[in-house]
Amino acid sequence: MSALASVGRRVNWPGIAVIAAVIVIWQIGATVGPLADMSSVPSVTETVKGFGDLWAANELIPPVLYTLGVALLSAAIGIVAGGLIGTLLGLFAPFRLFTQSSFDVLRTIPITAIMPVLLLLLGAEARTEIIAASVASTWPMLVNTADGIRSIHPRLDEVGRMFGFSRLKRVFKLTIPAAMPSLLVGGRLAAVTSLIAVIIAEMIIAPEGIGWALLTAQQALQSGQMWALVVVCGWLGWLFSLGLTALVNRLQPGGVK
Amino acid sequence: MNQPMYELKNVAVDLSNAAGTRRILEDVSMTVMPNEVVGIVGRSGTGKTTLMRALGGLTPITEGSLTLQGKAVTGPADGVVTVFQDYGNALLPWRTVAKNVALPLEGKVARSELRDRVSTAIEMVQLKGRENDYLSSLSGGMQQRVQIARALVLNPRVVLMDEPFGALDALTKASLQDVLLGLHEQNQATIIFITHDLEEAIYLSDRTFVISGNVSSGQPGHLSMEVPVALPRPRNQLTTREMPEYIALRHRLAEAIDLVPA
Ligand SMILES: Nc1ncnc2c1ncn2[C@@H]1O[C@H](COP(=O)(O)OP(=O)(O)OP(=O)(O)O)[C@@H](O)[C@H]1O
Ligand SMILES: [Mg+2]
Repeated sequence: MSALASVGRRVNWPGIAVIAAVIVIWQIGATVGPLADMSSVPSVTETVKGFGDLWAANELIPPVLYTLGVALLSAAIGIVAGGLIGTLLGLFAPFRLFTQSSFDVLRTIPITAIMPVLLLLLGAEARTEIIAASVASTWPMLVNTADGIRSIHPRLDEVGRMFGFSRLKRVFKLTIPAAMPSLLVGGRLAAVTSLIAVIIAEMIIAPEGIGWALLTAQQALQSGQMWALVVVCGWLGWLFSLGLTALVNRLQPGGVK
Repeated sequence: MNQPMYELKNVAVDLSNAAGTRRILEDVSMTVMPNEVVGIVGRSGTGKTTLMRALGGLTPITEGSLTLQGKAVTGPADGVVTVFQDYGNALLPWRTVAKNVALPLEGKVARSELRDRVSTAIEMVQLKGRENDYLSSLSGGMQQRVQIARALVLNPRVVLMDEPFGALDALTKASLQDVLLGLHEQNQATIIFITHDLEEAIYLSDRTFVISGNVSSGQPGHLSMEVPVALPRPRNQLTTREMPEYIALRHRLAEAIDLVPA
């Protein structure tokens, strides 16, 4: 089997055909169709031009890199914090008893509602943005970790006791690996949540990155640029989940599925 | 050598759940000698698993005394391994066969010794060639063999088995019974196993205990009969099972657990 043929088989031709059709309909609809008079809906060619303008002014790559960096950093913080608290919640019933309801209440507050508060408290800085996104991404990691650990069958711990393992050895050799699928799901959700929160935070809190670029284009009535940025956000999300899936597949051995 | 492996004197076990505390086992006395193969049969819910867990140090006893080579059992003891009935919960699906078998030795022996002992144990249960497979690609019988190999890799004094072949088909069961008997011949270990299958108890054991009772109606499990099995070894799936002594033992056990209600 040649490499080319195997790539050919992996390419999703029907999917590509649908995307192509959408682009064609968009172009026709926005130039001659009912949307032609609405300046907020640019045609495909205008969007591509907006893309080119942003590129020429060097206003594309720096915001993308900035947003990506902040999102990754916040996701990392959220994953570590959520993983640690979730592990404690999963392992220790007394800790769960005292803190579970507080976490349940805190978790339901939408992060967008806290952003204006954080802005007042901490100022329009990258630090504030990172704190907001870290908090947002802590929750999915925390919940998945705690649930994953709690749902492990007690037999596994007995196996560890039977072999004379210490509590710590049981946690690291048995509990955490057994909960790994849940941890990875939590980590993936945390990363995606972080990206969303960062883009919103850039609109509400810190005037930087792709979220701010999007808002600027909108306020300048540059609909071509605005839509180009929307497409870029889509790519960013897609790349993010692609990278995470690859990472997850590496961390999760073939046996667990 | 004449010190018993296990000695139980008037052992009682209470267990509690949300509904309250129940006496599960009462007045259990038995002595198991080193290298003996002992079977325990009984109806469902008579406390077989509870007895096994007590022997393995996983469930504390409430009354009486339980000693392993003269020392009171207060928790899981060195050199005592349990083969659980639910291999699906007791094995590590994120590890390969070899890594599962290696688990109890990790951090305890040198790397080269670990490798040798793991491959010997895998060979003993006839899983050579599947070392690098994950459990999901193994059949139920093969997974149970992985659990047996994981027990044997420790060269244990005692192997406790809770319905080890219960979930398996008749052919797999017969071949694993022979694997177990072969292993017992090569390794000096005391084996105590639980089974629902009277014939399995006779085929494998030197001695079989019947446990009866009805925990739900307030009658705790207790040993109601002890049957010595003097069949010659090595045993054979055909000839052993055709011996008149075998048939007579089967008859006695069946009567003891009320297989055919009067
Ligand atoms: N934690 C517990 N609290 C109260 N009762 C329990 C508890 N665990 C088990 N039991 C009861 O103890 C009795 C014996 O259980 P056990 O699992 O030892 O039976 P068994 O002989 O192994 O049955 P089976 O052959 O079905 O596996 C059952 O009636 C069961 O409901
Ligand atoms: Mg049982």
